[in-house]
Amino acid sequence: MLKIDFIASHNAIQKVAASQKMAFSFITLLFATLLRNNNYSVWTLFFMSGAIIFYAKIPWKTYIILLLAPIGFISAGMVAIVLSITFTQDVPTSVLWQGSLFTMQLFILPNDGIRAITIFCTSISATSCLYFLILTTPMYEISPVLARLKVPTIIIELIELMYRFIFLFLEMVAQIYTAQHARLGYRTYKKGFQSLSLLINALFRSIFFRYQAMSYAMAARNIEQFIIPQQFLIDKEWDQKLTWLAIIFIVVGIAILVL
Amino acid sequence: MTESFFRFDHVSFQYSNGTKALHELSLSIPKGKKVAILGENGSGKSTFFKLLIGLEKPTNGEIQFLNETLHYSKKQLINLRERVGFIFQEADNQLFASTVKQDILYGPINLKWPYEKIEHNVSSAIQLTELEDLTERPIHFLSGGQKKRVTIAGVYAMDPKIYILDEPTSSLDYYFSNQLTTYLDELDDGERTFLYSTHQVNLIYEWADHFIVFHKGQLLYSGQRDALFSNDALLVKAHIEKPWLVKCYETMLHEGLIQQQSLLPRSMGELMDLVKGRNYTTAEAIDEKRLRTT
Repeated sequence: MLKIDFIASHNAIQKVAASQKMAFSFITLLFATLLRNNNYSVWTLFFMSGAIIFYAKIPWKTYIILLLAPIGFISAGMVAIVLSITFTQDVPTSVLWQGSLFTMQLFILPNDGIRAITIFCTSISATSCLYFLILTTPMYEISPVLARLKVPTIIIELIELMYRFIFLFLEMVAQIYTAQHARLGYRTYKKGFQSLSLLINALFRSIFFRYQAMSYAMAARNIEQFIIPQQFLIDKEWDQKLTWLAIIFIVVGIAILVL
Repeated sequence: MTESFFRFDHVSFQYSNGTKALHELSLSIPKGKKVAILGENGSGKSTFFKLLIGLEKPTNGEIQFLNETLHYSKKQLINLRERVGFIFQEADNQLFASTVKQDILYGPINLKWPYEKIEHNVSSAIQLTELEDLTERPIHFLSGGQKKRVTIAGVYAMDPKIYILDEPTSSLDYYFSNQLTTYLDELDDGERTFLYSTHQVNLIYEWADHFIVFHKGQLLYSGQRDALFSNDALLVKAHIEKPWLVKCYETMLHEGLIQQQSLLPRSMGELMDLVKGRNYTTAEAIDEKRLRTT
């Protein structure tokens, strides 16, 4: 999480306007999820990965690890889609695979298999679209764009506060964890679980303290409004290179769909 | 009678869990003073600050701000907090923006100043605290000392008349701890008042010109430097370290190296003057010093 945030504010296209990056990744995301075309999804995945690694210059190792992370979730979901279960003996004749577990009959239908592959391709390409945004644009640049899109202020403020608190808690977890380690809190598995429960306990307690302290600090500075007006932010320009990339992407995408 | 920013009249405060934090506190905070707030851990310093800025209401007694009794209406509180800047002990609690510059911007934006004034104040705050290279850095990639400097800049940008600093040097290194009093001296225009709580007496011994000591929720001392630091029993009772300068002076006096003075030396320079046989409390010496400062 800390690493993602660091990359977001330290990459090759950090100076490109957040609105353009958001538009680019949301349009590609929209197409990938709506079309559900395998060829198109694979093209999106390769194109976005290329853009992330070569254009935004994100270290490829980090990107691959990040891309592999959601595959676990996707696989778990796919099992439920692919496998069919019956408690009787009549299994359709067209099955790709068949097996039994206790009294259950498990089998895979060709249609389900195809559907699962489509879902897999769609989700992984959609993930790459979102990574393009997440890895190149820090949170605080996204909120003014949301404000311009007339998203209610309260929602943007909530997003910003949650974002800030995530890092506070990560920091606190790291500190408590180190303190526990220093006193051999994770020496055995049993001790480890006890320490973990203490850690979670301490974290919950500190949430309330932090909340109180932050309300005080906000009151002390008369803070009522969170969103920084656009005029105080550094103006970032749209990048022509990214516009061209988007055009190439769409042209090739249409070609794939037509051919 | 000198004009005062705050006046406490028999103020007591009890937390909802029953802890009595302050008891029958009567004092006034004069205008244009550099006040050091001293006292052992848990003596009521932080509670005192919360009362000053209207974050807590006294259980008994009343508080006056600029000769007006605090009745905690929203308008009055906003007015109060526009003039009083509070630098909290824990920097992390005070910072909630994503980047350094944004956090410094929040206060001035909420004061609804014109654009130029906000930009000017924010950039001079950044310059004062030497944060130029970090303006676009996310808060969570800063060190403890850098965070502290951001909180100081955030309060400075709002241009308050009263500064409350709750143990500001607890996460600062030697350079920035010393630098802090220099920053504050730059802000000193004769009107502004500073309330500085600390356990590091050496840092503020020379800087402060008024000392307030709390002990177990009660006011133990309020007044000049000399009467406080020559009262050994009081220092021991309130867990206050005797400044090394005073220790040196007393030891030298005891050894017969220097002569007894009516006032304690304020700085190393003054002590050296004594060692060299010059006397800083004579009328000529004081006149000379006045000439130098004006």
